[in-house]
Amino acid sequence: MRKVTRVVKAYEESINQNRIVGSQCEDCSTISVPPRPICRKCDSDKIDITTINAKGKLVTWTVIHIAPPSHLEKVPYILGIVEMENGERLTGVVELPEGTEPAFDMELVADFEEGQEGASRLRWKLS
Amino acid sequence: MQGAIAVASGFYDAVLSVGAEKMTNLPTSHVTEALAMSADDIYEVASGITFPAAFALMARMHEKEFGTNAEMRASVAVKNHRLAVENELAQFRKEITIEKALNSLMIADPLTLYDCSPITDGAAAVIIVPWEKAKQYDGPKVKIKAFAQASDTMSLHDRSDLTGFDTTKIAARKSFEMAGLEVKDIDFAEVHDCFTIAEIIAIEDMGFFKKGEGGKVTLDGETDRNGHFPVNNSGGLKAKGHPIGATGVSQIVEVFKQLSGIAGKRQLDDVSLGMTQNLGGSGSTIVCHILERGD
Repeated sequence: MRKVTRVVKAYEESINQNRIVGSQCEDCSTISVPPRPICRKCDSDKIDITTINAKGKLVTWTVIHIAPPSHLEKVPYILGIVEMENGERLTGVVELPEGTEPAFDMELVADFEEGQEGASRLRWKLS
Repeated sequence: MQGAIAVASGFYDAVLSVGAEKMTNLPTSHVTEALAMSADDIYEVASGITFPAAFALMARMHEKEFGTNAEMRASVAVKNHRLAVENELAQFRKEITIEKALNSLMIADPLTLYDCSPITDGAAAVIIVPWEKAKQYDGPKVKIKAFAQASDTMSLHDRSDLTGFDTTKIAARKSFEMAGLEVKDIDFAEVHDCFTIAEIIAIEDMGFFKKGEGGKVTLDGETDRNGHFPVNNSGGLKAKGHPIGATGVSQIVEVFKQLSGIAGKRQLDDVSLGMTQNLGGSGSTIVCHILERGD
């Protein structure tokens, strides 16, 4: 349980530092994003936290019109899955300029904006 | 499945499996939030994901890979609404048109209101006993031939294939193995159509239709009541309703009624083997059952 907390905490802290981290296996070098407490390739628990290159391509997306209470004021918003250069994927909000429609393989870069209580929020934007 | 294991183990003589849910006492946004608890909290929910959104992400991939378009998805809703007319316990017993479905409120693009199952109150129950005991009972009874469960990651982004569920493929395959049956032996199925795309994906992953053809065969009527392989003849989650905690048992109840010949106006002719597929999370857990006529 402690290790799960450790990698999740590392991820959340990294967003507040305007970067994205993954886990890197000390034994087989496999990188996982989001970070995992145990390597998904070789099951090793020797895990380092490493900053990754926070850019990628849009794999798939939706435009959410009916939102949960926490996101009501944001509708409509684009939610997508972004594949980064190492093949790892993350779910996140995509913000595009007015008049630009999302498209398969659109090149995106991580952007960080100020959220509540000093925390940063990850947003994917055009690279 | 747990009830069947409990009885099969010999630990219990009889098990009453009950599912019940009350959802209509909260506003839609709160229900949406509560349902999203079974998505990944840290990476998906924090990004504002909803269940329609999760299935919309998959619908878009399915359309990209196989051309499964809005009309094909709407044909699932049209079929299930029409089939529910003959189900006296269904939430919606009213036919809809393709045009109405296509022009309904956008929920999570490309899924519209009629791509989504409703917010429902409901309950269902079955009694499970050893077959020797069931034989002493004069009323309708069916045999549990097989069941299987499979798990996957919580987050969609951790899965390589976003056009299907490995969990459905595994649970279905293990069910066929346990029953000693093949896909072609099954006469009909009740599957988890929480969204129209989910029915399309389910009938492909279970092996009833080829990958990528689920939308087309539905549009062509192959899964209709008089089609060669009826799917969600009860009206499915879409129109029978989707009281989350009761849905799995209600699928079993529907297959039970069909196999016992007590399904009334929606009775299918000459059926002896029925299958269910139930889903949790964004397909992160799947349970399949195969039931056989008891007479």
